[in-house]
Amino acid sequence: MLRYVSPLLVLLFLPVGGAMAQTAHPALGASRLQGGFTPKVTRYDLLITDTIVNYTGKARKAYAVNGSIPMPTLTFTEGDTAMIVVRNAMEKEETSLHWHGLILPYHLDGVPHLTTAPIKAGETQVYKFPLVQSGTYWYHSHTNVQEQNGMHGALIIHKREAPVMPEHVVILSEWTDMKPKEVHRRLHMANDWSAIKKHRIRPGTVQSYSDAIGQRALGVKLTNEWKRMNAMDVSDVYYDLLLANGRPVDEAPQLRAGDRVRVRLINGGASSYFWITYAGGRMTVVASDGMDVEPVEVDRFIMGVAETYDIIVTIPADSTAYELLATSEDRVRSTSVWLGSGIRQLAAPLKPLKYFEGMKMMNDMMRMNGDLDDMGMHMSLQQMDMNVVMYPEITGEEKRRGENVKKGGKAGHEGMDHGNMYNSNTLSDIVTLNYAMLRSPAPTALPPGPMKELKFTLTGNMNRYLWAMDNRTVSETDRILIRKGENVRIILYNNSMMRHPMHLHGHFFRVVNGQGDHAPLKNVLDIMPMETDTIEFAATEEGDWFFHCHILYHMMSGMGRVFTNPTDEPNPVLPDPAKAWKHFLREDKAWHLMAMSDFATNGIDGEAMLMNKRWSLQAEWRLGYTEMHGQEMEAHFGRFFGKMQWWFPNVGIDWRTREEHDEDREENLFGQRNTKNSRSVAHIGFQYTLPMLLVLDARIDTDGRLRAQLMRHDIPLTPRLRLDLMGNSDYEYMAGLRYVLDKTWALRTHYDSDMGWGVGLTLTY
Amino acid sequence: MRTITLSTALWLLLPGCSAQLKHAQTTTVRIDGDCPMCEKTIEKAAYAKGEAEADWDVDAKTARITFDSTRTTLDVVLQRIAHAGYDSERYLAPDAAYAALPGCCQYERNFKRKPQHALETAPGHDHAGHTHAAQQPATEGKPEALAPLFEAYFQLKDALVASDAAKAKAAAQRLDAAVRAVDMGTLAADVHAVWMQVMEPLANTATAIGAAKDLEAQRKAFAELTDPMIALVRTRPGSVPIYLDHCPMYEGGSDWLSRDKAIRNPFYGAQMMTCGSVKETISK
Repeated sequence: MLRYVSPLLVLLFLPVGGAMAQTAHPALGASRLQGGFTPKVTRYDLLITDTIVNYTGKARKAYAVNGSIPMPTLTFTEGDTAMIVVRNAMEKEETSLHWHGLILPYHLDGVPHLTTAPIKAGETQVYKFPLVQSGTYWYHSHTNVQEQNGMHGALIIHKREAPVMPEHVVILSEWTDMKPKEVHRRLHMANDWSAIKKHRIRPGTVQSYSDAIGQRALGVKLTNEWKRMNAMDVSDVYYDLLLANGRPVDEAPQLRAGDRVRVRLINGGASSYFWITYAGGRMTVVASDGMDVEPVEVDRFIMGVAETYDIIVTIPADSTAYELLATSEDRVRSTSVWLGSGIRQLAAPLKPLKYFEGMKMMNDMMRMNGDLDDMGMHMSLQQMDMNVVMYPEITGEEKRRGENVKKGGKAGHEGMDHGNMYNSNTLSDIVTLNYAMLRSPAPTALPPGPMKELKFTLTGNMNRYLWAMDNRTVSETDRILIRKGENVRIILYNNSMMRHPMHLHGHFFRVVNGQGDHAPLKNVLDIMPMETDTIEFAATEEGDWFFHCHILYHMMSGMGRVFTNPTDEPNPVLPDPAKAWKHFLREDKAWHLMAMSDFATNGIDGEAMLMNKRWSLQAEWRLGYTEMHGQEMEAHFGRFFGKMQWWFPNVGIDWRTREEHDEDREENLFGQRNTKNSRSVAHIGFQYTLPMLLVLDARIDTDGRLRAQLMRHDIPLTPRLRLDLMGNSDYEYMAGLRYVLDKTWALRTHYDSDMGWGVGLTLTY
Repeated sequence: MRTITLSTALWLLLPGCSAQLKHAQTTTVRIDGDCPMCEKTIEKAAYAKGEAEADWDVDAKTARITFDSTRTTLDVVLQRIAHAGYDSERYLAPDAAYAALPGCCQYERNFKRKPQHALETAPGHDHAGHTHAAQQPATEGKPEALAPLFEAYFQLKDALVASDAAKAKAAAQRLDAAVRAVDMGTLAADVHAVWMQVMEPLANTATAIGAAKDLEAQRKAFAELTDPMIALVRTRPGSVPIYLDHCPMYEGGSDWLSRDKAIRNPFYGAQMMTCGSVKETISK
């Protein structure tokens, strides 16, 4: 069977691949090749297996290609033809490989079910395409969350004639001992176990009340919650390790003093941004996302997920290795590359974030309805980074009581116009790269043609981890038609609280950044909260092209769109396009199960939820051990509305039985007979999240009885101590304290008006 | 010596010391430092409960480091010490960490190698990368005769950007000295011709800035340096770009030169730091 499948696929891929050889992006014109060389075919054979790895002392499953994590670096020369033979040697799982940043025929782009057939277990596929560009790129799985667990690798295309210079390729990535699917599920639970783990390394990360009081910022915390914000996440996921070329520490000992080295950096992480700093002086940025830019000298720059940057650095002295330091944006972890050999010159580590300064800033920017307000600053292109308020090296060390801002940055804001408050290049001596500083050496103006303008607002909320564009996910929208000869302009506004690295497949876009005809070309655009950015590209490539946020878990949640440029021929590798499209859309429709149950001396109470991005089926139970404590069960099903998803109208059933207590009230708050001890009804109602994150639950049941309830779970008193509160119009109330032991278990004590005191263990799934 | 032994003995009696480290491994490592204050900082940086501790000797400049090899490594301990500002035989402290040490602890950095092209490293300049040398290819030949002059100009510009009148004064005096120190005999013919034109205005303006009593006067004179400096910059060998920047506001429009692409306005400093634009990129 295998033998039969493979040649068939080769046949399918080859002729079309050859026919597309003329495909070239107009902007690549400058690098278009002249004659005078014989193009050759460079072949790589990739064998994909699942494997067991041990990064932290715990054995975990991961994916390896040719036995290596990350996947091997593929090196080519511009003008040659790449031939990559991919064999999936896994037993059951299907996979895919996407060639990130490459201009190639759409059916080789490697988005399973959208453009390319998935590589089924045991199957071999051949990818053959001409290399019409040069630069630093990468390749990764586009299936599920495989990219997180090893399926990422560097892909380098050298210029045919370029000055010889030492080079070092670095692909950055993260490692988590938690299964990536589990990471994804937990993100939808708004569980802050990740923050607790980070807190052990960087105290303050949880932003609990006790942290707030310690920083004398309780008011800030309360305003934050008034505006319905949970603790601020600078990045969502806790990672056990950050890796450079698959190792916690990478080395390039062959470099010598005086060498100028081209370091090709790739952010192959699934969800982490990296700050890059260097111990041997300034870095000269010479390319971004594979495309040359005019050299610009900086002290540091941030790499969005999936971005690549080429830098030139110098090895200043002999017998010394210089640290090239990559620090995650949350500054919890870092990974180092040592350039040179000998005594090791450390780079200055990035100091911990001032979280409460960040929260204060968010309080100013957040409107009550969840929209962001840029206060007229017209932010764009990473020039004004609101996060600078959290950076000690830019805005000074954390203030202590009775002390003025310490030196560290130039804190004197007097006379500065409002906008400069957040421009790190004006606030300090440190030169930080931003997109406005990138300039293409060659003109990148689009060819003449009609302009199709599209506007998208990036939206999302942390509480339910819904990420979308215009509050619509991929599966909730149609493909967007673009046509050859047309130019496309996309204006993006980020109205969410997180930054998003937006990636366009199969094209380079111009980032309109004030450099006129020399706007830089990129394929990933990092857009910060409140920024508006404009990108443009010529619709030269036929086929389907995915445009999505490259934070893996945002993409999985549906943050993207598909552009369709009509093809003359049907897709040769997806014979049933309707079925394939349906399959492709499954990704963001996933349902997630989560549950929590307390096993206590007075009974078992808990809840379970099965939910997707809009709908939720919830069940609650309170099961006493005696008839006096009674039993209750309820379930409801409903839909979330609005981009913040504060509204949750639902229908449900409620059943309960319990012995009467003497002190029970006969009427509820609305003067109706209180049925809290005996009930078997259906109800209709809604939940709404109020300021202070209080959830109001109002309902009317089939007996015509009303009930209103206020509750709030998981109030972070300290990083691990949580308070739960509930009260309703049937005069039922509950208060509980929970101490989080680990991601699964917590100690809990609570008092319930029906069940009395209890002590027990809480299980979280 | 006796006091040291005594304090070491006392220190050993404190809780959390070597006696309690499991799988203890002890190594002696050379660590630079100067005074008892250094000792405190080094030992504090090395200490991690149940993992590692150090005993540093100010005379021998060595530390006995004891660590639990199942929980940490010597490298981790030495990195912590380096991050606190102290060089050891394996790790060099970040320049910023060294610079942040109190004056009495600013030991001589014997472990640090001299950069290969140290010709323009300015004293007191803590970013090694700010030096011109860092970006010049190793092959570009001998230092140009005018290098110290350019260096002084850019230091003066940086001081004005920082609105630091004292530093500006010092830089202007260095510039003055650099102008007078240029050996005309070594200049190529075309450079020589330009030099004859600009030498006098340069020297006069530099003297004026050095003597000026406030930032305002310094900035006004600084604007007059631009024209002669442009002429000199154009004679320069090498391909490292120098940016001619323009501020439309100062004195009805004034220019200055910078090695950085990012605009950092020397006429207004923090008041209008990014006011201005790149007018021309001068490179060959």
